[in-house]
Amino acid sequence: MERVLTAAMALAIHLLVQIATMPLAAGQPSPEPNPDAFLGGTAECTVCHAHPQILASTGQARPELLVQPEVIAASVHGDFRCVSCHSELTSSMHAKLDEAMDSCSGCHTEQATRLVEGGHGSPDTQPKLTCVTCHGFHTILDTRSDEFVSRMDRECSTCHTQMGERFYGGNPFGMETHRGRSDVATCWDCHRSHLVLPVDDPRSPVNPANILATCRTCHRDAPQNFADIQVHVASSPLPEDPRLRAVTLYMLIILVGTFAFFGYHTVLQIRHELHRRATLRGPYGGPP
Amino acid sequence: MSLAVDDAPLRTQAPIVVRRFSFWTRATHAVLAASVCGLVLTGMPLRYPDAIWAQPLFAIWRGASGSAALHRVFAVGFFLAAAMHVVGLLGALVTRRLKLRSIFGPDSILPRTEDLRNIPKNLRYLRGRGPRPRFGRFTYWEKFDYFAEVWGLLIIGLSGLVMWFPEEAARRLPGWIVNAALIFHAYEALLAMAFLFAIHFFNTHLRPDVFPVDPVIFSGNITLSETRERYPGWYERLSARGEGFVPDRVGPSRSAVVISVAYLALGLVTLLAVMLDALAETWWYLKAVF
Repeated sequence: MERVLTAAMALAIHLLVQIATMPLAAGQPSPEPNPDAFLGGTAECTVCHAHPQILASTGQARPELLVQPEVIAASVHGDFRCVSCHSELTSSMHAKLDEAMDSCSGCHTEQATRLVEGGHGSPDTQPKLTCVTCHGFHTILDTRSDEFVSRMDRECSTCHTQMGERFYGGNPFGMETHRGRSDVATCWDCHRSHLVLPVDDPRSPVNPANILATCRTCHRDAPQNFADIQVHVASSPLPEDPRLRAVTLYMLIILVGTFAFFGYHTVLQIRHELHRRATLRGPYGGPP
Repeated sequence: MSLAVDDAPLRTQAPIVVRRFSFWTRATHAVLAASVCGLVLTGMPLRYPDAIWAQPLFAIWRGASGSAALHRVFAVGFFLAAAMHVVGLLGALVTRRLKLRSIFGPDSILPRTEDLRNIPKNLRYLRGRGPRPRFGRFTYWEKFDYFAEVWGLLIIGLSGLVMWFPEEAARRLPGWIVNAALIFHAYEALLAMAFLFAIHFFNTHLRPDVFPVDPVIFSGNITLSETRERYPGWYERLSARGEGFVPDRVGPSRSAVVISVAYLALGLVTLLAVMLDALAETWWYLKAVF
């Protein structure tokens, strides 16, 4: 009974939204929707979409249907209405909801164009990558915030697993990013954020021909040798570069050797002093 | 605090002591101890950011950026200690308190072939199977402590400078040196921290004879009778020269003991916390390799 009621209420609200926002369908999606439109705002939609029951209606299959107003409010689009992005709602209900690119490109035209031009937006890229893959649906953060940097630290290495946190050990920038620092270079500072190109593309900022210029965007007076600094060092616990592998092995041998000898030595020394106390002889074998 | 050899009941007057560490040496040790503690507490959360203790430390240092900035402040203290040591050595040479000839003598900090012979001899002694070697002013493990510090200071200081000023470093050195600096710095930090907080602490301060702290680093003085037992070779040469005096006070003040116990406790807690993460990382590495 409760499910029938919920479904009925959802249908009623959808119809209302559809009717009320009909005039908007003709225009471009706008970040500042017509204030006269009496529906299509966040509060109306969240009557259903903030209710946990909405997940039950799809058998928990679509968690993104649940939209908490506080999540929207915390995002950079906090003052938007639902229809600012979900403009298709007005014409065909939820038919095109998954095509995030179309909604975002209304304002972020440049970024969307560059994404399609680069490797991440190419039709060959699997799984298909759109704005929301990295920026999220409703939790869109300021890209300059520490929070965004630390989210992207996880997002990039979801696909680029070889850059996962454990292997950041030899990667000076990755290490810093992983610690939540936004004041150091991270993935997109060298690879660009939207026009991401493979390293062998001559336009790529990480192409060997461009790498020094890329370094110099931050390290203004970086010398020629700077381009030889390896940014992604470790792809296994021991670095692949033979010189760095030798350095790591040298340090490991010293580490293990020192503790093997002095650990044993210290234990002997303390055992000796305790034993001498127990037998009531003086220190260093002298009289008590 | 009582001294290791409390021979006060045997005599009526204060014990005769000799000077083991000058004021300058003790001041250098204090600057070094303070800056190393600061370096460990600001550096280790940067090395192990996933550790449960890393976030609370970042909260104190105002984030990873604050931690990195303070790490450089403590690094200046660390370099100051190194500079103090060099100045002290030069000063002692100029004022003839340290004679060039004695640098190669039996009471020098420099290693001698005798030290190598003393290692198996002392291990036999510690297992109760032989006499104690007749150590000079510095035993072989004290010499190792000193040179481990000098070598470690060079490795960790230079690699730190390379990462602090990468443009300057790459102007003079090949690019891979900057990568190597990070590896050197990370491992040397672990090595230095564990050596100081596990080996140096227990071998020098926490061992039963002087627990909780060896007072000689505070007073600079060591009683003649203790010298006879710890450094018999040095004692012979001291008594031949008739050195020794009666000090105003033997041993450290109460506040010195409180401060050093705080250092020791802090160091041991840090050691345990860091070692848990270092071992977890080792386990993970081994799993990835095999």
